[in-house]
Amino acid sequence: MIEDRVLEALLKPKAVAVIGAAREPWKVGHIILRNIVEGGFPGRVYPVNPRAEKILELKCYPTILDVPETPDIAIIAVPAKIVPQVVEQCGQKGVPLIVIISAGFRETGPEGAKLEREVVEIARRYGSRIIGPNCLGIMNLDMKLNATFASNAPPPGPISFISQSGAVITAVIDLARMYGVGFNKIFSLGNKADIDETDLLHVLARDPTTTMVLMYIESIDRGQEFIKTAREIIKDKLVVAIKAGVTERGARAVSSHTGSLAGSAKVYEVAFQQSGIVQVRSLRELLSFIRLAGRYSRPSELDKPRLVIVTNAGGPGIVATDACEKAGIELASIGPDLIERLRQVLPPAAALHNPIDVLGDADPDRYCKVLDIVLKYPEINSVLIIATPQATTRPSELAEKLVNIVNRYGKKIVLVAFLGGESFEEATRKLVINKVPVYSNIEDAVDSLSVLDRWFKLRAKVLEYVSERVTIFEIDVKSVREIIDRAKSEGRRVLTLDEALELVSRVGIDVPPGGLAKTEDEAVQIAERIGYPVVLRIVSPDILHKSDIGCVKLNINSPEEVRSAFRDIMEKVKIFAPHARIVGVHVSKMIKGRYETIIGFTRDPQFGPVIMFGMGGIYVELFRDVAMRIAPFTRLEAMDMIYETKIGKILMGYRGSRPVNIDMIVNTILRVMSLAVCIEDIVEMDINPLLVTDNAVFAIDVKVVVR
Amino acid sequence: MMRTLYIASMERSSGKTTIALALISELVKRGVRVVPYRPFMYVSSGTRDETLEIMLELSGSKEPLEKICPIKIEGWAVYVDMMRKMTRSDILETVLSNWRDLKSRYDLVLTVGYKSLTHRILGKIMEIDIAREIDSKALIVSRPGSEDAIGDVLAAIELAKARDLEIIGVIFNCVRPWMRSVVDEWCRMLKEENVDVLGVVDEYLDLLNPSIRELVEELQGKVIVGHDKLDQTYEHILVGAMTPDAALRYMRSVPNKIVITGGDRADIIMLALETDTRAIILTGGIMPSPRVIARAEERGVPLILVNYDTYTTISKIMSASGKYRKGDKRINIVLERVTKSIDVEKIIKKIEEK
Repeated sequence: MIEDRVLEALLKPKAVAVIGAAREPWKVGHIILRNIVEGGFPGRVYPVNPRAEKILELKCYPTILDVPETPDIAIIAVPAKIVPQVVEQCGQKGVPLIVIISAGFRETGPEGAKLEREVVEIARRYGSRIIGPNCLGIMNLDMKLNATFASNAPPPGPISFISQSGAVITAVIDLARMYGVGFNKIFSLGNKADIDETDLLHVLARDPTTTMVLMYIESIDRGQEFIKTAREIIKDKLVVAIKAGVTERGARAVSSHTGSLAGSAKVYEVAFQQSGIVQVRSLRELLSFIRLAGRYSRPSELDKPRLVIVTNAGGPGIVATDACEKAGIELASIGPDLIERLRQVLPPAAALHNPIDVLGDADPDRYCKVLDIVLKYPEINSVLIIATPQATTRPSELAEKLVNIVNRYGKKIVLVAFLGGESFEEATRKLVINKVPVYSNIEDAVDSLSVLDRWFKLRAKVLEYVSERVTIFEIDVKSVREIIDRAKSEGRRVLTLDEALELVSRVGIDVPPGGLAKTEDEAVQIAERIGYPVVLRIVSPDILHKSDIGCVKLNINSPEEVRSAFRDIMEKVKIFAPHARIVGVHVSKMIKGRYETIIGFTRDPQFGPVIMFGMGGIYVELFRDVAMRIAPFTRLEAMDMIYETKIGKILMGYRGSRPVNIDMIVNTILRVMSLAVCIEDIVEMDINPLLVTDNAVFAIDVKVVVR
Repeated sequence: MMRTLYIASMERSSGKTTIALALISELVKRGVRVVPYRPFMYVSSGTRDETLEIMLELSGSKEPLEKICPIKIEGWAVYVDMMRKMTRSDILETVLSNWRDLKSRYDLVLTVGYKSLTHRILGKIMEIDIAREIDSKALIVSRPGSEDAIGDVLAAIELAKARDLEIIGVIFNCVRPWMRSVVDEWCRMLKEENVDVLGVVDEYLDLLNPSIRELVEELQGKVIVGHDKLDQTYEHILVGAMTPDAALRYMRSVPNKIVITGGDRADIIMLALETDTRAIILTGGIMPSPRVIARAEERGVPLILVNYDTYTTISKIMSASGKYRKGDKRINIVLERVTKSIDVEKIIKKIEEK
């Protein structure tokens, strides 16, 4: 939650104080003040320094308490150990937003972490909020405020940037200056002691001057709130994020760097998807996109790309086609009337379908004639121009003419890929100066457009999802808790098979008839009661993979077989799990199903319950045919989840196979989700297999881990 | 009442000490003046064994250690030397003289054997003969490791009969769950031989894990943070070598654990801090980053830096487990569990029987 006065301070600051403003030009406290002054901030600026009269022509104040008004923002750049005292004073003064640049906190170890907690506590007491510590600062270029110690600022524009790395910010600024890409708000998160990425996303959702948001993320702490906030902002703003630490080594580096969980890469992927945030895989992709964003920065005024490729060479045209196909970008089809018009301006050998090959001898005029025709066509809203250096290409002239065309069709997207080097140097410069997105290779151009394309698709899905109500089944919490509490009272975290089966049956998921046997005789009695064939399985809190060690016996058809299976299971326990505690042997009716599926969830420490559906059985890890969603979600999302998997397509009837009743699977997914949402003590659960017959599903094996 | 009971085992580490402690505490409760007697003891040099002190303390007796353990050998060199020097009668004389003294002053001399009834101490005299010479009845404690262990028990009983030593019964100690049905079968066999089963005690080694502080001592570790959390104990040991995705589920399944991993495995450390963890042991002497240390401190989980590799670390932890230490609060918990499973009344009755 960001309070109104903090929001106001972030969006429309009128007065800023720099505590620790220094006279020495090499000090951070001086650089920040200079950046604010030189940036032309029109509000009031108050340097605070007890030992200086004036810095940069501005009157200094001994403490923040001596400043004649309450500033909206206090920037702190004093040594860590006096930060608590300074924050206390900011609190007394009633400063809504405190940006702590100073380092020497959590990143230095337990002492620093203690200091950091102390600082946050002081600020909380006064209702002040903190960005940082250990950060680069913030920019609000809409208000001409550069309160960072970065050496430069980008030009103003509608793009905002939230980053967990100060260095990535400086790199982006540098690139933005080169391509003339305008930025609006830039927030460096630092140690995230108080304000985090979710808070700032919430702020930007309320910022009418921001139309696009870039994010560099190492970890998200409040996943559920993050998704909620993101779903709100992406309705009219494009958000693109890079998550660092998606590999095992990378994740380790994130944990080491931030002292937090890096989180599962897969879960982040799902979270971004559900949020409607476009996830890019590399900084290169993010930086490529910035070039496109520089000109086409109001995505809500655009449409999902329907692209035409215009090239002077066949090969690169094909490469571009492949790249677009892979990225899922729609290649516009060229209608007969358009073909006719193109024929009039192009030589007979030219290819008139998408990609349009204007041939190697094309001069700038031929390019322009074609573009003029194509861009007029209402079905086409974006064009990728590819040029290779040929005798007639005349790059510089081509660039000039392209600038004209691009300016004329402002609402349509034009990207240029100059394949070459030296010949295109000047031409590239001309396009850059005029903010036409230009690339030296096809892939970067396509990736940039793909970001926009994915946003349109994700947004459409998310808008559809949020229009439906989330389905939560009623769970008999008390009766489920009974089972969990019993296990916990015995010091167990893993429910035994009989407990887990009982648990799912109490949330309305069917299980085959059966019971727990302590002895061979009991096993025979149960088998006789429920009828053959039966399945025998070991019940032990210490044995997780029963079938791996031969403790599951299928298709048992007589009392003698029951006895021998019982003994064999005990023998296997002795060999493979000699220390395991044994509860007994579970005897259940063997059911023949058509398909084995898996439904389960894990409670992600950052995002909460992540529900999984996919192909079940013992090959789950091998096939990895699973879809995931962060709970809670709607019936529609559950359906999409099923359809995302191969087994889902089979269940719906693949190549003439009889479809099963999908509703019962959707309901089972929603029941598991409801359980995950209602009972927080369950941290892991798998129903595998969930056996599917034509008109019923049965939980055959269930694993439940509680906390 | 002037009696002697010889607690004999069938193998090393069968839990004689535990059974002896259980009997001492029960007998003391009933007002019996009992003194522990351990005629022969051999420990490797440098190891700390406080079981004698603990037995004495529990019995309330103030006998000097030399009195209740007249032949205590430390280190293999001394052992070899003694084997050369001590004759059968030397051993017997030492054992007998101390026994006579104790017997005259106590109601019961609770004698704890060395290795097994058929073992010849220092290669000279069988335990079975010592037991007979000190005029005792014997109680066999067996910790069955396999389904044929009953053979050794029955052989010892047969030999005892031949040498005229009365066996009051057998206790099966530390029985693993899968052995339970096998032990049931043995009980039937012993009944046929007219031997009483005086107790079947389930495995309790999980109760004997050392405290984190003892682990730090054992591993000569350096405590980075969590100095105030070292007196906790743990139930499980988990090695953090898996991928982070797999680790979370694994770690959640195991409560009250110590996690052993490398200081550079920040991902594993974070997951351990997220779940029920009593301490994290960082092998290979690799210090984690300051932020990781800060997080551990906030979560109140000790980080212990050791210079050993994972295998050596685990071996050392295992060897520290199962040992009793003076002032150990866990002893009471173990004894409570053990006394519930043995028939103390019957044992007393059998000792007193003519």
